Parts: sequence; C-alpha cells; structure tokens
Amino acid sequence: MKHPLIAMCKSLIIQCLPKNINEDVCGDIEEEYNQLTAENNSKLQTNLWLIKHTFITCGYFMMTTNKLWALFISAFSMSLFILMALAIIWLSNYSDISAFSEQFWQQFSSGSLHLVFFEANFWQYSLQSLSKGLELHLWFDSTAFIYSSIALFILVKLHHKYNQSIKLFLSMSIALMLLPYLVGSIVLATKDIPMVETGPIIATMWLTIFYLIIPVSFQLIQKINHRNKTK
Amino acid sequence: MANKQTYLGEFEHCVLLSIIQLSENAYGVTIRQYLKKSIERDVTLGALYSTIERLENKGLITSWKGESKPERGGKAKRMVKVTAQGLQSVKEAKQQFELMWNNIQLLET
Repeated sequence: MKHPLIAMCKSLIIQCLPKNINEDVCGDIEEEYNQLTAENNSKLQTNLWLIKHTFITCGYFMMTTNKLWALFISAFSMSLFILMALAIIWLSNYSDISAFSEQFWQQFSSGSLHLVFFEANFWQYSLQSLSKGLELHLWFDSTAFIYSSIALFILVKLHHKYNQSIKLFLSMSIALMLLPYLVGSIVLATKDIPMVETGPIIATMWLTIFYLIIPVSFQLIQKINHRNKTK
Repeated sequence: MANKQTYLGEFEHCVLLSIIQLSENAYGVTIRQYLKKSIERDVTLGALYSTIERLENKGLITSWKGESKPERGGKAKRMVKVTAQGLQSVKEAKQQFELMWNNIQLLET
C-alpha cells in the first residue's frame, strides 16, 4: 500500500509543477524516498526529507517572476475593482453633503475625484451601504458600457492579430482604461458644470474602469502565462 | 543570430559535467546524488529540473523517457545526454577558465 505522505507530496508536485516535468520529479522523489527508507534512516528523518524537498521544489516553480507578476496584477486589479465599486455605491446613494467640507466639494466637482478616497466619511458610508443591499441599476451606465465594449474589442483584436508585447499591451490597456477618466477630469476642470449634473459624468469615469479592469487583467495574465510557456 | 554565443552559468556547468560523468545513467536522482557526493552540493529537484529544461532549450543536452520501476511509483525516468553542442560548450568553458587561471600562483600550495 502506498504511503499516504508520499501520495500527498506527489499530488502537490503535480499541482504546482509544469506538466512536462511533474511526472519525472514525482518518480525521482519517490525513488530517493524509497532509497533513504531502505538505507535504514529513521522514519521521521526520511519523512522530513520528503516534506522539505516537496515544498522547496514546489516553491521553486511557484515563485517564478512571472507568477509573482500575475499575483500582483490580480491583487491590484481586484483592489481597484472593489475601490471603484465602493465609489459607485457612494456616488449613487450619498445624500448628506454637509458631512464633507465645502473645499472638498469644490475640488471634487472640478475633477479631483481621487480626493474622496482620502475621506473617512466615504469609507464609513460605502462600507455600511454594502450590508443594506444594492440595486442593480447602479452598475449600469450606457456610455461607459459602450466605451468599455469597444475598448475591450480593440484590445482583444489587436492581441489576436499582432500578439503585441506585454509592455505594449499594458500601455494600451492603461491608456484606454484611463481615457474617459482623463477626459472627464478635463471637462470638469474647464467647464462650469452645476454640481447636480456632474454625477453622470463621474459615473462614466468610474464605471469604465470598473468594467474594464477585470477583463484587461485577465488578458494580461494570459499573455504572461503564454510567454512563460513559449519561452 | 544563428551563431549567438551562449555562456554557461556556474550551476549549468556543474550539471553538464555531472551528466558527462554519469554517462548512460544520467537522470534526476543520479545527477543530484553525484553533485552531493562529488562537490557536496545538496540541490533540490526543482532547481535541477529547471536547469535541465534550460540546458535542453539551449540544445546542450537531450532527454528521453527511460525505464519505469515500481520504486518510482511506475513513473518513467527522464534520461539525459550531452549533445555535441553541449560538449563543445563545456570544452570552451574549460579553455576559458584555464586561460583565466594561467599564471595565477596565489592559491597554489
């Protein structure tokens, strides 16, 4: 009967290592484990050897630069996605204008939208709103939706047609994702728009990022993985 | 870039020499044990296999599936052999080191 520890270690190696070598490594580690057992080493010592080599080998292949990049991109995109979601909840529901200073509203309505993320009231209100339940219509903005669909279509088409480098794809993605935000900021800064009319503009600016960040990150990670395989 | 010179890393050099020494019996376990026995270097299978992959991509070694035994859980061995290009690369590295060591008496006893 197969030792349960060796079975666990082998299944971990199969999960963590590339397909083309995981069977070879499994065979090698089992052979050495059996050799060590046959040499009358203590059971504990042999098991510790097995665990140490399994973890170091798995870590060696998991902690590659590309995988760490993919992890960083996933964490960053999820954080930005959540941040945008909270911002949209706040924008759609918040009514207590007096909780923020007049100076804040002046800067906010003239395009400095990022300032809201430094306000304690924003975090308090948007996190509380999460527990109250959210309406579906908050998440839909036709302009942002159309723009995001076109931007994503362009990125996917260019990826399939030219298979551009990761740096170029990243630069184009950032440019397309931030374009409505920059245009919106310029419009808010240069035109005298009444406070009540700024809401839809801000919604478009934030929702574009909200719609695009996950699919763009997914594409980017796919590109990194693809480069990893073809290297 | 057909004749682009590829330089051997220090560990790649050790692995290639081990494969040459082991001749027909070079695979993960034996290479690892040879490195430990000859230069007291205890490497993990992960580090070894990633180097083997790199050497194979450079065309310095070639690999094939060997026999499978019950003590390996029925898994086949991945046997490796140095190619002519690999041998040339090791020779060049040796010559370069000999040139670099020439006239250095500092460490001689």
